[in-house]
Amino acid sequence: MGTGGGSGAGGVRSLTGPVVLGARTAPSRVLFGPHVTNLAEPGRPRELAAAHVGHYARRAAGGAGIVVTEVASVHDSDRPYDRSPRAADCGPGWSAIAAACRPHGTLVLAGLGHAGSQGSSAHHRRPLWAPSPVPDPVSREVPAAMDEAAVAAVVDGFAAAAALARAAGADGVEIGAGQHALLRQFLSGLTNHRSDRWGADRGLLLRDTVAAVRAAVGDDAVVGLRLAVDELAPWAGLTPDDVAVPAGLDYVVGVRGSGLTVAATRPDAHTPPGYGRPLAAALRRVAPPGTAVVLAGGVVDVPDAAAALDQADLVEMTRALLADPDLVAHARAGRAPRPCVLTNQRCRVRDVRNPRISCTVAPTSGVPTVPPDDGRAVRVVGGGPTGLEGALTLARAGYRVTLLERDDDLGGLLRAVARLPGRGRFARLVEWWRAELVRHDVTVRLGVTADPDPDVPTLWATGGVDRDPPVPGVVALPAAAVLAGAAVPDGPVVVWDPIGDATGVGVAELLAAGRDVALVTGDPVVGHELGGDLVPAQARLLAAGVRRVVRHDLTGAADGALTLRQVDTGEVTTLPAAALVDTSPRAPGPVPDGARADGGLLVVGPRVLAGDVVAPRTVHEAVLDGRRAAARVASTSSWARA
Amino acid sequence: MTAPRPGDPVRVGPLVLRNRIVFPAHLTNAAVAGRPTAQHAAYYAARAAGGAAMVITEEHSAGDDDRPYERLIRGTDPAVVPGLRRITDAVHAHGAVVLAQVGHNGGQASSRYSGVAVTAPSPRPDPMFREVPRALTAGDVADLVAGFARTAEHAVAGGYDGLEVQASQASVVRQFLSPLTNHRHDAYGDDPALVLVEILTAVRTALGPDRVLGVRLQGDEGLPGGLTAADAAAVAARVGGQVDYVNTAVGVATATLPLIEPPMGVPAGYAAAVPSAVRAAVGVPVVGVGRFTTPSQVAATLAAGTCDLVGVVRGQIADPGFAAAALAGGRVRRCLGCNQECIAAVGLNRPLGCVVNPRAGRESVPLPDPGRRRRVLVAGGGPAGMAAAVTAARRGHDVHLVEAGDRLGGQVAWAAAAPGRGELGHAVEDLAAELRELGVATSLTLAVDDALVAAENPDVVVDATGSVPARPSWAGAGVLDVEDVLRGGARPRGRVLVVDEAGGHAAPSAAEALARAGASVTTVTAALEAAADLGPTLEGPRWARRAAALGIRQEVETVVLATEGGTVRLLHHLTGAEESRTVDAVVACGPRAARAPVTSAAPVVRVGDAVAPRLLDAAIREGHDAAVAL
Repeated sequence: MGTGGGSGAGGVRSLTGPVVLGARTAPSRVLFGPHVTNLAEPGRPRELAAAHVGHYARRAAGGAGIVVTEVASVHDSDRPYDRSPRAADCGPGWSAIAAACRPHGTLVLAGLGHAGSQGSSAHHRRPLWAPSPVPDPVSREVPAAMDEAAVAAVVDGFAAAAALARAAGADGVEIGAGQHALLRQFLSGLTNHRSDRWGADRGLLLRDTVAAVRAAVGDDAVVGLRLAVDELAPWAGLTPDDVAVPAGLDYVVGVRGSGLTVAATRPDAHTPPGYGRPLAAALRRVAPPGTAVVLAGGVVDVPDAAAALDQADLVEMTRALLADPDLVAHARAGRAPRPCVLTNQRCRVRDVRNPRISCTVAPTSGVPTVPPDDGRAVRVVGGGPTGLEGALTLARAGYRVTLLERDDDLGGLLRAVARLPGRGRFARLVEWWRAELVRHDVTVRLGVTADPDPDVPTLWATGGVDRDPPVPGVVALPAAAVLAGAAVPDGPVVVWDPIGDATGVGVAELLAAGRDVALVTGDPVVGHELGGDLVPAQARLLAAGVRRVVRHDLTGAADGALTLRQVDTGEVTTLPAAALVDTSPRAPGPVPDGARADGGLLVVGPRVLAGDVVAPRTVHEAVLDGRRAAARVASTSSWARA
Repeated sequence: MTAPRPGDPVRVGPLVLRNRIVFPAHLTNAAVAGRPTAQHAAYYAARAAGGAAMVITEEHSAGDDDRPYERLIRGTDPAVVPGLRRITDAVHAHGAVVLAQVGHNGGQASSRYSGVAVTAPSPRPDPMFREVPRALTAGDVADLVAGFARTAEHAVAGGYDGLEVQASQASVVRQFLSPLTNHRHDAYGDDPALVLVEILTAVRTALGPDRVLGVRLQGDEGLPGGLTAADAAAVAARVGGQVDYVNTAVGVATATLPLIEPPMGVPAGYAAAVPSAVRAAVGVPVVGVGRFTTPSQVAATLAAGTCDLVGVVRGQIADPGFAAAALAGGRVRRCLGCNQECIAAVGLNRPLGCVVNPRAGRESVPLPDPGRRRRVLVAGGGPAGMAAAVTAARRGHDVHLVEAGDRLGGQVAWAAAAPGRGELGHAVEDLAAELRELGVATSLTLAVDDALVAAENPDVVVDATGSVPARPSWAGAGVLDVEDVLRGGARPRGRVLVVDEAGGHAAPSAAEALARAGASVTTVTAALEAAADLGPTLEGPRWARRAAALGIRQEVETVVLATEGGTVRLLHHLTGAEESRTVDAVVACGPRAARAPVTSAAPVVRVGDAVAPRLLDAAIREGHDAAVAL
């Protein structure tokens, strides 16, 4: 399947052009892969909801070639998370998604799977199923070893679900044998210790399943496979050297990771894109003729995707399409899409709290639209993420926008954040905003301090302010100041982290070059809120020589040392520190007299306060506030003219 | 004045309660899309049917944007009213009074679900949610008060007998009251109780004089510089004239949660200082809470004069008939204080359940008719088999419980022998008592095999034969299992390495038993955190203190590669560093192995560890469910 890929304009044309898969043709070579969304309605947690339809249809409208829907469980022994779809309940949802995507030519494939020992008994209150009673390293729950009847039920479940998907109008299915998959657990020596035929031939269940699915859907449907190619556990796990691709498939996507390395499948930007290349290369070597190879692995930029077509027939760009659903359309038009920042903060939602999927840089819900305008003047004060997004939103709606920034550059706190390891892509986001403001004729004035103007509708996004140091008696520096280049005294440094996100870990890593650094938290682990990067972060800190001090509160400082108290035992210790770096969030800016709350913003006359000046939060809330404030400014503007 | 007894009626404002036992407000995660469900109604009705005098339903939020957790009742939404009516009708049918707790979480919340910044008296992040709140403006405070009144109107429309305003563990009102969270310079900073006075005034207007208005006040926050019992008494004195009763609490939900819902080992009445102090300050009835798990503890705290009413949450989750038993002098199925299926589950956004009461959390799912009387042979006298036998006998079946060993209780019997774990044994002691009361035929030192099955010819065999220790692949000769220590009494001395591969209590229990016997104990786990499963059940801090006192070292991120003689080879898996260590003994605490099926000579239902070795809740639930499905 030569594609004539490459990194130049020809590569982009190929990426955004059609591709034949079996009996079907996809309008582009960009695949929107299966992912947890939590978009189901609370009372119908296992069905695909209207929000799912909107989620997939939006990407189809933007040019995605293939959409694979959220993995649906093919058997009732599987409910890996609260809102995991159940295939038997998905017929209407698949129909609606297929109908909504069809006008765009996008192929809709039903994601099908069974999580096996990586599932959860929390919701169905049944034993987990697995090839052998090997507990998942995270849950440590011992699964039940499947008997012959259970194995047959899973194969039948895949076939029945595939038939249902076809009957519902889907173009085909994608079978899950990737990172969270019973089928992978059968393939792998890590988890399959059986002595029967399912153990003697560990590929047997996958081959039987593919054959049963193909028989169920017929030759005119697409059958794809998501396959773990490298479990990163060479002592017993799957490696690229022993991968085999069953017959009967139209495409295969190679992924990596296992229950031991859950973060490896969609790692954040600490892992440079390109880790999917050896997986695709291994699949190219062994895939039967006619089976297309899809490259997956952190590819979020169009040039990288075009270049990847040297090695693969299609490219999975799931997170990039979350950041900008119109990525393919933009690429066709030669425009840059809004860049994915690869932080996984809002798109990695396999979390017991059931957060709905969103995007750190592109909030998808609760955003009012700004009605078109014919060029009235509005002001935006502050060039951080709130002001940038607000200015862009207003400019797109037709307002004549002037953006005033007191600093000599745009970006606000994001410029500091972008200096953190693994957060460099925020600089790319700022550059994208800058270019978009130019494209939409926004007047940007740097180095200007603005005063409130009672006559001009203004989006006021001047950011937060520093907090008082957590304890007196030591040189204390806010983490943001350190990232912005503030001098840190020589000697040992203690990073105090009451938050546990990427800031504390990242600042500690940066400072550890050439000095003793301790990272102190009251939590039982450092980086408590990191999610997927939690384990990799520990390894990086150890490699950097950072001392991790957990379950301690900061109580005081004197004579070049900090006093710490063990949270549980009350034991008091000291830690030498020439300086304390504080990762506490900043404080809100001053609230003007007469300000009143309005949908999470503050309003004073024609001035709408938004973002960190109201309450310092993450980039996501800053961007969301920017859009909301734009709508509020627009309504102020209409009122002023009425 | 003579001290009250549990069965004495008591006047609370305009109403008379039939006894002194209250089912206080607690999260159930039964709400769907912000509305109460049929499960709420059935859940509360079961406790009313069991004799509780007053049921206070879980927090109804008074803020449109107050969304700290997913399954919250949105009290300000008029759509809740039909669901509220269903609850109050169901509780009233059993003669109990029903109140709604109304609250607002303020800064103890996240914008995750609402999408807008959380609000609080001052812009200081909560220690758990870690999100900077927006400071409430004067207009926001007026809206906040109005939200309480609106929620009260919905409760009245839903048929409630009254309302309890939460000013305690997760509350913006407590955030105003506490110097740790109120740094304001306006009237609400100068007078921290002002917002509570305004809320109570507004809610009383909405309720009218014929309904009960109560307040739940914060005692000790458990934080340096935080509120104390004396503060609760002072606030109670201030607002005592506005309310019909005062409920009490200790601990902050997002900072010192183990104070609110303490695990086993914490004595009943641990929080009695708060109601005592409040009772001295007000003339209205005072509710005391604090791990009352038996009727005698309820009687004792009333007799001691600490309070007028006793709040029992977990005791009534474990046994909905707790109040009736307290009045009749009967026995209850006791709460263990394991916190596994109630607090931990709710904290993980799962519905509330109970390890010892498999019906808890699914009261609205009707049990099927028992059908014809069956002959049931239960193989295995652990918790799964005992639960199966009890439920089957209650449903009229003919049950023979057969245990191969010389005592009932299975692994629980010896797990409860570990230091600090004694209350775990209540699970099987209470099941054994029920087996005796039901007259279930029980045989010890008898193994079920094909011959016995042929002789007894049952309609069905329940295979609850459990699990056995599984030797880890790394283990050389001489490696002990946790069962050897806790059941077999092995007490190796010197340097002992306890290898935690299963999580849960096994390794901490073994480590503590050995350390108390004089060994120098080190635990290792591959996880980032030692004894991590003790966190969600709120046992972590107590374990950490005991481990520190005993000098137990806890190493993390480490796996055992092999043991040979007295040498253990360890791998720190994040750095790849290997180490050889000389020890005197190694104790493995790993996943267990299911026993082989006991028979194929009759229809068999397998339950509990015999299917897959798991925790106590799975054993009791599956035993119960198998008996229901006969």
